[in-house]
Amino acid sequence: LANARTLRAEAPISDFSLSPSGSEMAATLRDGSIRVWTLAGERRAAWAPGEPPTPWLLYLGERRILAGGPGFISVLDAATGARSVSWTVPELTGAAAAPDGSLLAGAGADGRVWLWKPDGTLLRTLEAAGLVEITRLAVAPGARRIAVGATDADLRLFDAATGRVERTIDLTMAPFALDFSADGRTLAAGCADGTVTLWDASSGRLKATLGRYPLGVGAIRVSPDGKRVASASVSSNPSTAEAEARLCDLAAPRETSTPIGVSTWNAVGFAPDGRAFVAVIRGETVTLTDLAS
Amino acid sequence: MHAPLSRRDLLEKCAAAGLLLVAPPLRLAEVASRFEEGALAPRKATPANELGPFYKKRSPRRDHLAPENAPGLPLAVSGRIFDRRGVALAGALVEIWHASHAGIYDNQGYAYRGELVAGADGKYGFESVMPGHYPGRVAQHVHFRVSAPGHAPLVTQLYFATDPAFDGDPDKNYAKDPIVHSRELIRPVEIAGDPGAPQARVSFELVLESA
Repeated sequence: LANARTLRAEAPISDFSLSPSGSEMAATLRDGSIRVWTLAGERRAAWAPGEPPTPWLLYLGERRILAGGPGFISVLDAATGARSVSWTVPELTGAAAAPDGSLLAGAGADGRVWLWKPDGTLLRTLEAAGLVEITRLAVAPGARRIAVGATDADLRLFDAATGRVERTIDLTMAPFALDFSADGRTLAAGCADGTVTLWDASSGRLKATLGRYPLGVGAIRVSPDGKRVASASVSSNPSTAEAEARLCDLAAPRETSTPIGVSTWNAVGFAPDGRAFVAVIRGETVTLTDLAS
Repeated sequence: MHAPLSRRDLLEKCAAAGLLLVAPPLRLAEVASRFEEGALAPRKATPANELGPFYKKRSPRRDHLAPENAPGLPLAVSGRIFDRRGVALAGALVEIWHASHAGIYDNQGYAYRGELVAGADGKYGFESVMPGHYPGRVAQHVHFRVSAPGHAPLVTQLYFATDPAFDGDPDKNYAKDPIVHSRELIRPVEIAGDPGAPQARVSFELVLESA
C-alpha cells in the first residue's frame, strides 16, 4: 500500500467494498461489470457477471462477493467471478455480511431485515415497531447479533437467533456507518451529525465518544486488535465542504486527521500489515491513502 | 310513519346499536354536541412521507426556527391537528426540520429545527425561511413528525405549490420529485406583508390515524 495510490476503472463506480481482512477490494461499475484489485493495486479479476447489472456488491468473507440488483442476489467467486448461487429477493436498501461470510443481512424498503445463509436460505425476518427507514446494518462476528441503524436515530441490536430486539441505543441522529470489533463486544457508530461513538454491544452502554466531524460520518472500521478506529466523513454538500478521514488510537487517546477533499462516499480499512487507509471513490477512480498514526 | 330523527338522536341510536364507537377521552354527549355544531367533520389522514436521513432528536422547543437575520424569504406555516373524527388534538407534539435557504441542513446544531406543542384547539404555527433546494432532492420541503397519545405518529413533508420544480403545475409535475408520493402535500403559498418585507404563508392541516 503506497500513499495516495489511484486505481482506475473503465466506467463510473456504482458501489465499492473492502474485504474483511483489508487485503483486496471490489467495485461494481455502471457498465454492469465488476473489478477486483489487491491492495497493492494489482488487478486481480475483471468480469461482467451478465445481465441484469448489479448496482451493489459486498464481500461475503474473504473469497466470495455478493452482487445484487433489483430483485436478486448472486454469490460470486472473488477470484474467478463464477456464480455459485442466485436467489430472488425484495428490493434491498442495504446489506451487510458477517466477517466470516456465514450470514447475510438485507434491509428492505419497509424496514424489515432478512437474514440469509450464503446459499440463499432465508433464516429469519427481523421487524420492530417504528423501524422503517434503515440507514445501515452490521453483523457481529459469529453472526449472533445484528445492529440496525435507522433514520429515527434509534440503533437497534437484534439477537439473530430469537429475532428480538435486545437493546435500543438512543442516538441523536441516524448512523451512516457501523462496525463491530473483532471480539463482537464493541459497536462503533458514525452518525449524520458527525459523532463517532463506541458502544458496549451487550449492555448498549456508551463506552467512548471520539472526535466529532463537521460533516456526517460515512465509513468506520475498528482495527482487528480493537485498539484503533478509522473513520471518514462524507460531504452532504460537495460544492462547499471538504471531507476528511481520521484515525483514533484508543490505547493512548490521540486522533489524527487526513484531508480527503470533496467526497460523496468512501471506505476505511486496515491492511493485513496493520496500516490504516481510506479509499475515496470519485467517478471512475479509487484513491487509496494511508492514515497517519 | 316515524318522526324524523335529530342528529343527536341518530348518534345515540347508532351508539346503542354498536354502530358508533366513541374513542376515549370523548363522551358520546360531547361528540353529539360537536357534531350538531358542525365542528366535527371526518377527515382523511395526512399522507405519510419519508422521515429522511437528517432527523435529529431533542430539538429546542420554539416557534421561530431560523437564526436571526437568516437569508431567505420569511415563511410562516400554521394549521390545526386533528384525528380522523375531526377532533382537535390539543397537546400534540410537532417536530419540524428543514434545510436553509441555501439548501443545507444544520446537522451539527439546531438551526431550522424545532418542536412545539399544539394549543387547546389543535392549532400550531411557526416561522422560519423558505427552504432551499437540497442537493439530491428535487423539491423544497419541510419535514414534520407529529405525535399524540393514542395515535400513530405521523411522519410527513410539506411542499410548496410555488416551487419552480413543479413548473407552475403541481397537478401535472408533482412526481418530478420521486419522494413526493401525494399531490395533497403540496400546499398553496400566499405572499403577504409589506411589499418591502414579504412573507410566504402556508396553511397545513395535519390529521393523525388512531394507534
